[in-house]
Amino acid sequence: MIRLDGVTKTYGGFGLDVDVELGNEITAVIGPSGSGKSTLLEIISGFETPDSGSVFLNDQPLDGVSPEQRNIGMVFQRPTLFPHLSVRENIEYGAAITDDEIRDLCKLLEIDGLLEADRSPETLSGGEKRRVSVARAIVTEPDALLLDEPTTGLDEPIRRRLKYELRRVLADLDIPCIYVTHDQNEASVVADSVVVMRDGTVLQQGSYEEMLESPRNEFVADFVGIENLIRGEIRETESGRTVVDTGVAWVEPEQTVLDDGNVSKSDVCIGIVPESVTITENTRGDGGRRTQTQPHRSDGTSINSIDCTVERVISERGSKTIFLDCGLSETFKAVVNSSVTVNEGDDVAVEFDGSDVVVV
Amino acid sequence: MTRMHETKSNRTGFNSVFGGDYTVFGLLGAILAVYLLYPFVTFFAGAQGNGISVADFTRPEIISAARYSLTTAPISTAVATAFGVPLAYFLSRSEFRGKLLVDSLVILPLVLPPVVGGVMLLTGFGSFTPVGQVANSLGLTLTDSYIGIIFAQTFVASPFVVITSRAGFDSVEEYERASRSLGKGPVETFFRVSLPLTSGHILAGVALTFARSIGEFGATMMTAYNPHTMPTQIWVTFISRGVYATLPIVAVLVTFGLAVVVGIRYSGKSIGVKE
Repeated sequence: MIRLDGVTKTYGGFGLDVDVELGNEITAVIGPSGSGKSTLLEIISGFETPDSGSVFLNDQPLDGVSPEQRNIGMVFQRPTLFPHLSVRENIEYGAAITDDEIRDLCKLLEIDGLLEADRSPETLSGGEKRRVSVARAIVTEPDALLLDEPTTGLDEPIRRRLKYELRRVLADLDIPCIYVTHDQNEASVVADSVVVMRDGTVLQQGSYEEMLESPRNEFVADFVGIENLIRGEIRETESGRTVVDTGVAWVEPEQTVLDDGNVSKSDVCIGIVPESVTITENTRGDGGRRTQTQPHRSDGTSINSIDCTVERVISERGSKTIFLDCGLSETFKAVVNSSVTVNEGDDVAVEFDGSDVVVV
Repeated sequence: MTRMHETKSNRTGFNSVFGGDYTVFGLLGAILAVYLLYPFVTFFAGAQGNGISVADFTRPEIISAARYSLTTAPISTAVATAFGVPLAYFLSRSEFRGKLLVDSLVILPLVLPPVVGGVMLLTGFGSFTPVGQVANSLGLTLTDSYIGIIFAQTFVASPFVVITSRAGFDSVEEYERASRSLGKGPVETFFRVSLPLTSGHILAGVALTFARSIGEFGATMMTAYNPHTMPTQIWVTFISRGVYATLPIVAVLVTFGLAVVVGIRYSGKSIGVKE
């Protein structure tokens, strides 16, 4: 377990201030550039000294312990394989290891073929270099492993494959693995839990599912993939139901919008994941088609359904991303199955279930 | 099809001047290249008709100058390397107050006229200075001596090895971190990672320092006019016997210079770290 207790670090207008505990699992640290992710790793690894606070590894304080004495493995953004050593010498650099052990490890990472004939790191592909650098870090049997954006710069197919392999290998280690990435999709695949950072602070920590269900704020929601964030006012319908009036439609989340008994709260932000909506043809002369389960009011205001015009359609493998003008301040984004037929300029209705709406 | 062809032709025409075959840049560069080559051609061509014989290459003063230069320059280079590489590493890895000053000081001998360096060395190590007097009492003469030549050469030439080594150390910091994260201490990391990875930079610096040392004249004139090194002997020969009489020493120095430049160009392929 790694614990950062009141750790602060300030330099050049940037300030890090974190209190966080990371268990024996894979934790993804996500956040935009400059949020302090890499500084966090530098402090844990001992290459940076905090201005105040302490880092604990398995309840032992690491104050004054040099990087080489911490037994914390690190996989850098660039693979940093020593170019003057062979692949095998790179892997063996940190610890003496038997032939069988090195072969088993390399088989696990699917790089056993690289051990032959004193291969130089310069002859490896980007993905192979990353795998070798992971093997090199694991060989020392570290008490924790830090990975700083290990898939950066790789081609998408290699990156896709590597993240699943990393998940498989890291999950077996049973040590704290801190995986810095700026890709929420990668975080969701690789990690057991997620730490979202911004401006040097931890905004939220928890499982990816927890963050999708109850993001602490709009930034976290956006970062974990809840891209449609809509502001609205809380209202009560004629039938006594509490809804959020977005100006173009009423949204009725299954989750209560008045949490903690804060009945005076009138403004609220709701979030809808692009993948959770359906697109239906707008057959209504003056608006959208209503489904039986989603009644609308007599004044025509829709509930959990928004009439929109298709602005742009981007076809991807197995899906379509549709950008919609719904009369909101921001473009609404929907990701639907590639079999759905929509064209730019079409009038459509976006529908979603109340259980897919999160209150931010 | 025709339109495509036209577009391609236009692009080729544009590139031929500004990007494709770099004609304009080549022409401008050629002017400088010719200017650099021209004096070599005139000197060696002119010397041929001026009665320089093989015997001139073995005159006692030429042999003596070559002996002094070839024995002092390696020592100056060794001294500059022994102290310059650690300084380069320290500057690359440390942050301290006054670092900018030290950085500037390292470069200063490169931008100052060497004769200025010689003047300052005289005020520091001349026979009538405290340091010079202490050395005299120990039987050492720091100026107009073998040591004086080494002082002048080291002062003027050491920045080369410091600057190139530092550039090398700056480029391998991440590898050092990788090594330390794998449990290796700073000293082991230096010898197993930093030094092998920067050997190209350091060797280039050593070669440049040696070339600069062997060709040093301005500072040496001030601190050690005697005994004559090759550059000093060129000056003496020029004054007493004319420009073409300097041919034997010039030929030796040009050969050394060429060897160093070609050597650096060749080893340049191994300078720097590729990922």
